[in-house]
Amino acid sequence: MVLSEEAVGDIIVVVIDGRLDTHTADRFCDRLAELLRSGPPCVMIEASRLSYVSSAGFRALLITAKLAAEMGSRLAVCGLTAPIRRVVELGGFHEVIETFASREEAMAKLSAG
Amino acid sequence: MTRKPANLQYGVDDVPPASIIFVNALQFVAVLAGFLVFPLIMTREAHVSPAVADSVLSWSMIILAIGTTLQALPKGPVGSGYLAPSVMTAVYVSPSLEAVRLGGLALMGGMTAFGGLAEAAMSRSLHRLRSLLPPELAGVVILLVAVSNGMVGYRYLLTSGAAEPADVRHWTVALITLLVTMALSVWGKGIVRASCALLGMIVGYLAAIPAGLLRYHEFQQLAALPAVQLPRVNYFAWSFDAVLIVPFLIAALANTLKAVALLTAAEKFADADWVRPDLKRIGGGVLADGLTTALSGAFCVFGANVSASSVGLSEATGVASRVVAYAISAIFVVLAFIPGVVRFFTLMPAAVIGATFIFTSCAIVKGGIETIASRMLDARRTLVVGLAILTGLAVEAFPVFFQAVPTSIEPLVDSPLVLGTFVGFALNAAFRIGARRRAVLTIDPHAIDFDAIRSFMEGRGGLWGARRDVITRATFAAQQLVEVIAENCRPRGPIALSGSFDEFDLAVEARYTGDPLELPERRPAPDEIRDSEDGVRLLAGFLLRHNADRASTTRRGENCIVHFQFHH
Repeated sequence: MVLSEEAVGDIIVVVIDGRLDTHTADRFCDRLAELLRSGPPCVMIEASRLSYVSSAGFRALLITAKLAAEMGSRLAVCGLTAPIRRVVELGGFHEVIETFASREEAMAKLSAG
Repeated sequence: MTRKPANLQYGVDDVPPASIIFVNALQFVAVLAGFLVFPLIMTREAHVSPAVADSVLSWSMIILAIGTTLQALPKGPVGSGYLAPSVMTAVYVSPSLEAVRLGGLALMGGMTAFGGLAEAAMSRSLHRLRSLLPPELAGVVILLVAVSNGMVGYRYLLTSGAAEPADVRHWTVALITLLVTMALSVWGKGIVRASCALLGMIVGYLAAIPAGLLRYHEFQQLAALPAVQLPRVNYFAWSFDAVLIVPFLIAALANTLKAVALLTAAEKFADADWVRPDLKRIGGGVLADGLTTALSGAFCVFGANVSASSVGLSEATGVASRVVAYAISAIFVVLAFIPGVVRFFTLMPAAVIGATFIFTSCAIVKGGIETIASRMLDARRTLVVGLAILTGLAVEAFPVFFQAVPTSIEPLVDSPLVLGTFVGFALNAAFRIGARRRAVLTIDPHAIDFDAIRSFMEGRGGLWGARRDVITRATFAAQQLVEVIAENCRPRGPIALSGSFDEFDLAVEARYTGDPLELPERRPAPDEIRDSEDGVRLLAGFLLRHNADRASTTRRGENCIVHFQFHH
C-alpha cells in the first residue's frame, strides 16, 4: 500500500494506492492518526486506486473515523470502485463514514461545509 | 425494487395518468381481440348456433380479463406481477381442432382444462430448472418468440391468410398501418407514443374502407346484434379422451416454454439491472397462465397464453405499468356483454393484423439479441444457441417437411418457437454432462501471496468464460477467506483453495487443518469491530457469508472445509 497526501485548501486529501488488509492496516492507522493530530478541519480519503479492503482494513477505517470525531475533524471517503463500494454497503460502513462517488463531488460538498 | 430502464416511460410499479392507462389498455385490447378468431374458428368447426358462438366469444373475453389480472398480481404464489396480458394462443389450434372434430366443444373444453392443469403443475418445478435455462438460452427463446410472431405477421402481410389473395390494396393498407405506427413510436411523445399501435390500427381500419378491404355488409351484421347480451351457459359440457392426452400435453409444454420466454422478456424490459431470469417469480406467472387455460377449458373456451405481441407492445410504447393490466381486464369484462364490439375486432383486416404483428416483434428481437450477447459463449453454448435458432428457422423455411409429421407431435414442430426451444433445452441438458471444472491453489498461511490468489481466480474465470462481476465477488471471497483463516484459525499446514465452475454456479472452497471459522448472520456493530478482540474475525465471517449466494462450514475432526457458492 502506498499513501500520498496533498492539501487542497482546508482539506487534506490522502490517496490510497493498493491493498488495505491485515498487513497494511496498522500503517494506515498510524499515518492517518498523525495527520488528524495536526488538527485539519477535513481529511478526505481518495480510494479510486484502492484494490482491496479486508475486515482488518475496515476496522482501520472505523478507528480513524472515531479519532477524527474526537479531534473535531470531518472524515470522508471518495472514489470507491464498484466492487469495494459493494462490500462497504454490505458491511454498512456507508452509514458510519461519509462517502462520495467522486473526488469532484466530495470537494464540492466538503468545501461548501 | 428494480431500476427502471431509461426507455421506459412508466415502469411496472408506476401509476400513469388515467388517460394513458385508458388509451394504453384500449390499445392492448385491440391487439388481443384479433386473436378471438381462434375460438371463432372452433365454433365454426363445431357447427354451433350463432348465439352459442357469440357466448363463446364473450366468455373468451372474460377469461382474458381473469388471466390478465392473475398474471399482474404482484404478491402470492400466482402471477408474475408484470403487464403480460393473456391471449387466445395459436399453440392450442392443432389439438383443439382435433378435439372439436372428435367430440365438439365439450371435448375441447375438457382437454383444454387438462392442458391448463398440466401447465400449472409444470410451473411448480420451474425454479428447480434454473440450470436448464441459462440466460443465453432464455435469449434464444425470446428471439424465437419474435421470429414466430414476426412470421405470422409476414404471412398476414404477404398472403392475407384469407380466401382472397393479397393484392396491392392489401399491401397499401399494411404499409400505411406500419409506417404510421413506426413514426409515432419513434417520434411520438407521451400519450402518442404510448398509443402508437392503437393509432396505427385505427388508421389501418380507416384506410381499409376506401380500399374495399372492409365492406358495408360486414358492418350491417354488427348492427343486427343486440346492444347488450349475457353470455349463455346452457351449452357447457365437458368430456375427456385419452387419445388426445399427448397432443394436449405437448401444447401445455409449448405454452409453458412460451410463457417462460415472454415473462423473461417482460422482466428484462422492466429492469435496467437485469442479470438472469427470476424463475420463482416467472413460475408464479406460468402458474397464472396454466390456471387461466384450465379456466378456459372449464368455460368451454379456447386455450390461452401470455401474449407475445403485448410484451413487445409494452417495450415499444414504454409503458409497463401493471395498473394497465387491471384496466385491460375491466375493458374486456365490459366488452364481453357488448357482442357488436367483439365482432368488430374480429373484422380486423389481415393487412392491419400483419403490420401490427411485425411492429411488436421488433422490440422482442432486440430483447433476445441483448440477452444472448450478455454472456461469453464457449463451444457448448455456441452450439446450443446456434442450433436452436437455426432449427427454429428451419420450421419456417421448410413447412412442407414439418407438416408431414404425425399429428400427435404436430404441436412440437408447429412453430419455430416450440421446436427451436425444445432443441435448445435438450442440447443444453446434454452438454451439462462433464461440464464441471475445478482448479486448486495451495497456500502457505505464513507467506500469503494475495496477488497469486487474485491471478488464480481471474485466470480461471477467463478460462471458464464466467461473468466479470461474479469473478470479482469470488476473488474477494478467496482473499478474505485465506486472510481470516491465517489470522484467526491457527491453521496447521497449507490451505487448499479451490475454485470450480459448471456454467451456472461458481464455487470457492478452502480446506485446512485448524480451528473452525464462524460465519455469523448478524452484522457486528462498529464499536464491536473496532474495540473487541473478535471484531475483525466476526466482520470477516459476516462479509464472507453475505457476499456469497450460499455459504457453509463443515468440520471433520480437525479438518475444516469452508464453501461458498455464487450463482452465475
